Amino acid sequence: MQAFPQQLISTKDNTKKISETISKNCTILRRTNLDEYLTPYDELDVELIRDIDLFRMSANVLLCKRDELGLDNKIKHVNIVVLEGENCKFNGENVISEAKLNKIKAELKETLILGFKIDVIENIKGPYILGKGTKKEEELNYNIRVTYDPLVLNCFHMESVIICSETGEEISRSKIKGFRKAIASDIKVKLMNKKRVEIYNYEDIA
Amino acid sequence: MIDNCITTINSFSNPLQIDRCENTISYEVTQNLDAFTLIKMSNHCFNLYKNRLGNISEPTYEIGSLEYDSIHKTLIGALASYKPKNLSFSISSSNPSLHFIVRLPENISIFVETYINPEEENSTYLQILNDEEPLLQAGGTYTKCLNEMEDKLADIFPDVQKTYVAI
Repeated sequence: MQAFPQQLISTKDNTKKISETISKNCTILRRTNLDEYLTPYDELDVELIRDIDLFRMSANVLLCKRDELGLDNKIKHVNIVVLEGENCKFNGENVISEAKLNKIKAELKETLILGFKIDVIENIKGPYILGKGTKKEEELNYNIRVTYDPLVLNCFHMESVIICSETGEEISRSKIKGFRKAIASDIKVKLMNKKRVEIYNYEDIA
Repeated sequence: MIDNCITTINSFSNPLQIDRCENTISYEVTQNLDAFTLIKMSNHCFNLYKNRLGNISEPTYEIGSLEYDSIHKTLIGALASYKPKNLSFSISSSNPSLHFIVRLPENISIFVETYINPEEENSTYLQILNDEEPLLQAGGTYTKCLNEMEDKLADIFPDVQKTYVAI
């Protein structure tokens, strides 16, 4: 266990600065539970991209201009896990008090970190069939939207969601069955085909 | 036009390009993977990742192992004639699935993912791509996807003499 890094606490100032800085060239980071990412034959291990994570994926942004902005935005921050303490959405007012901050327990994971360029993720799209084999069968399309979503204890928090292109509604993260499996498989193909991921080894960035 | 920088020599039947201007040596290894080698590669990966199924449950491991045994043999049997350049296999544990990637000549890639579920029939998702362009997306039973894949490959490689490879 370790003390919680203060630079991750959301405030009105830092969330405004981050929000204005995020661009499509920035990377979103996601922690994994893996130590290796390639199979013995040099392809990505499918375990790297978990189906359930694709539907409402929590991530941290790695800002492109982090040094110029004076923001302490490190890759390894995504591997910090809050063990005790609530981490709710930041609404601009609910800055955590120092007394509460002192009670927070955190752990730094030592596993591989996965990165995706925002524009790579947002360019993924494809068809799917809703209600396959029923009278209400419908051919639709999906796309992915990445948004800034600061949390009280994580000012770099982002979220990506899968959207139905025709309705603009989120395809929810319920049990991955039927058309959700097809969407998850399609996204994995698009990421694994050209290995469109960035991998950071904990030991290299700590 | 003659490139004064590059000299090509043959080394063990592979062309080796020596670029004096860039100070680089490049070569392309042409692999010919026969069915026996592909089976060995697939089993190597399966043995590495099979515990992911066992960590979920005993039925998932048993069903997954049986499916793997059947799928890897029929898939390799169907693809061996197309001279695959690479084959890789891995297992997803979050929503358990068996995942094959096969790279064929001419930038053709095949992705086959079979979801394992002890409570319902297994389902397969298959995609064939030419570089990044999807040529076929199929879903349903593994047998249905395999048939669709074979039809599509016959269109893509009309000159390949398809031979049945017993495994």
